[in-house]
Amino acid sequence: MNCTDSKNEMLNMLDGCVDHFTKNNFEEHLKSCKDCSTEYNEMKDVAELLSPKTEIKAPLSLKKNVLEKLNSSEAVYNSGRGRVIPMSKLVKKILAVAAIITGILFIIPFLGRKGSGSNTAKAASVFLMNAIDATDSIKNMAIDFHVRTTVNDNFNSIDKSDAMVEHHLIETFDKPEKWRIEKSGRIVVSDGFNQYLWIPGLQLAYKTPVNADLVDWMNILLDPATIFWKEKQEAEEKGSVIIMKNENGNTLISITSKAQGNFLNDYMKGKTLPGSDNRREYIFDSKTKLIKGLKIFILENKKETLVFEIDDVRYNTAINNNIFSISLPKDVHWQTSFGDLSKGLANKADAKEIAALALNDLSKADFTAHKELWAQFNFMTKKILSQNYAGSKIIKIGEPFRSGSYAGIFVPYEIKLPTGYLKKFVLALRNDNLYKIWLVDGGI
Amino acid sequence: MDSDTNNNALQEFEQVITAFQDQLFRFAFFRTGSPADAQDIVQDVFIKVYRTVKHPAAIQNIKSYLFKSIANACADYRKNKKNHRDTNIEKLSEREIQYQEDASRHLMMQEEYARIEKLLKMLPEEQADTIRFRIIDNMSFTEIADISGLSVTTIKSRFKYGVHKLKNILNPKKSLYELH
Repeated sequence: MNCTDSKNEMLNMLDGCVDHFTKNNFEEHLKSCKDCSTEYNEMKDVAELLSPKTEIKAPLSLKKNVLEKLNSSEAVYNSGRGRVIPMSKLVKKILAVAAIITGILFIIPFLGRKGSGSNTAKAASVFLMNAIDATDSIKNMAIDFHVRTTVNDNFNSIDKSDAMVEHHLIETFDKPEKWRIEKSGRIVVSDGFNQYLWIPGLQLAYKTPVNADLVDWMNILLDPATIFWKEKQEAEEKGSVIIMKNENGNTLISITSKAQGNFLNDYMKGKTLPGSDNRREYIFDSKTKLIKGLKIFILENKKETLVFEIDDVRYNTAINNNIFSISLPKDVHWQTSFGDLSKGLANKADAKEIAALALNDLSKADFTAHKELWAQFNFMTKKILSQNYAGSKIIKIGEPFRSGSYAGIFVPYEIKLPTGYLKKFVLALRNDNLYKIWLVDGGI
Repeated sequence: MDSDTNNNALQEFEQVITAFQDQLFRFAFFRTGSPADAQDIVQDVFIKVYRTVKHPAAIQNIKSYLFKSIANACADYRKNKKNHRDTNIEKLSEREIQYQEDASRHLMMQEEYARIEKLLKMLPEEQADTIRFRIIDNMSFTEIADISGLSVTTIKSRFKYGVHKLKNILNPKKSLYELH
C-alpha cells in the first residue's frame, strides 16, 4: 500500500468497514510511514476528544411515557368502536391486582439445602463471606436489570416465554432505608415508613405498611448481604454444582441447583425459579468484592434460558431524594384496606366447592354473596369481570391439585363465555392467611 | 385492525423503543443540549412513527427511518430555538431542574455537552453535524449519507475537513497533515 491508498482507507478504517486483507496492508504501511501513522493517530485523537465520556442514556420515564400514551390511545381506539378490551390484557390486569396482597408466589431460589463439599465450594464460601463484609461500604446503589416477565403485571412472575423486561432499582441505606423499583406499568416506592404501588394504566395507588411484599421476591435484591448469605449456606452443604474462576479482575461464581417443591403434579414445574432447575452466575469485582453482575438461567432438557440479568450496578452515587416519592394525579383511586376478612369462607369447605362458588359468582356477576372471596379485586376489576363473565356457563370443574412451592391450590375448569368461547383454565385459590379463609388468587 | 393485532403491534413496537431509545435520546440531546427537550422530541417521534407505521417489521430499515425522523424533529427544534447552541449549565431552566430524574447524572451530561459543543462550535454546522453523526451517534459514513440524503464522498469530505480544522485549531503550531 502506498500513501495515497493509505489516506483513502483511513476513514474506512475508522468506520471499521475494511476487509482483513486491506486492514493488514494498511497496518503494515503505517509501520513504515511516519506521516501516515501520525495523521491516522491524530484523527483518532480528535475522535477520542469528541467522544462523550459520560454515559448518555434515555431517562427511565421515556419508554413508559410513550407506552402509556400509545396504550391510552389504543384504548380510545377500541372503545370508540365498541370493542372489548383484549382478553389476555384483561386477565393480566386482573391477575396483577389480584396478586398484590397475596404475598410471595415465587421466591428466588436462594433457599436450597443441598450444596457441595468441594474445595471450590469452600473457596466460594470464603469469598461470599468477604462479599457480605464488603456490603458495609454501600451507602446507596442503583441496579439496572432485566427479567423475563410480563409487562404491566406485578413483579412476581418469571416466564420463559416472555420477553426480557427492563427494571430499575435504586436504594439508599441511610436510615430509614428508602428504595424504588420500577418497570413499565408499575412503580413501587418505599419511603421508609410505607410502601406505595402506583399502576398508571389503572390509575390505582396502593399504600401498605413498610414491610409489605409489593415487589414479591425482588425484596431480596434490596438486601445483597442476605443473598450472599443464602448462597454461602448453599455452597457449604452438599449437592449443588459450584464453579468459581477469576477473569480480568473479576471473580465469577456459578451455582446450579435442582428444582424445589412438590411436583407430583408438574403444573408449576418450570414456571417459577425455585420450581425449576436453575443456575445463578455471579460476577464480583475481585478487589472490592462488590457484586457487578448476576445472571439466572432456568435449565430444561439441557437447555439454559436466561430469565434474569443485571446490566449495571452503581454504588454510592449522588441520589436525588425525590426519586423516593411518586407524583400522583389528584383524582387517584387509593386502595388501603381489603374489608373484614374474618367473615370469609372458612377452610372447612374444599377447594372444588369454592371454585364452583367463585365461577357461579362470575356467571351472575354478583360479588356480594361471597365478597371476602373476592377481597383482592377492586371495583374496577370486578366491573371488568362482570362485563366478560356475566352469563357464562360452567361446563366442568376438575380435581384440585397442588404444585411446586405455591401455597395455594389449583382447580382446573371449563366454562362457556357469553361470546361462545370455551375457556379452559386453572383457577388459583388460597387460604394461607390469618383467618384461613378462601381467596380467589388468579386464573381468570 | 382488531384488538389483538393492536396488542401485538404495541408489543412489537416496545422492542423497537427498547432497542433505539438510548441512541435516539443521545442524538437529540447533542442537538438540543437539553435532556428534557431531547426526551420530548424522542417521545413524539416514537408516537408519530407508531401511528404512521404500526408494524416496524414492515419498514425495510427501521433504524434509518427513526434517525431520519429524529433528525427532522431536531432540525425543526433548531428553527424554533435559534440560540440552541448556547445552552450551558448556568442556563438550566427551572423546568429542566424539576424534570431531572437524577440530578447529578444530568449535570454530568450537560457538562459533557458543553465541552464537546465548545469544540464543534469552531466548525461550520454541516461539518460539526457530520462529526456528531460519526463520533457521538457512532454511525458509519454510509448510514450518515443515507440519513442526510448526501453522497458518501460528501460526508467523508465534511468529516475529514472538520477533523483537520479542529486539529489545527487545537494545535496550531504543528502542521498536522495535509489533506489529499
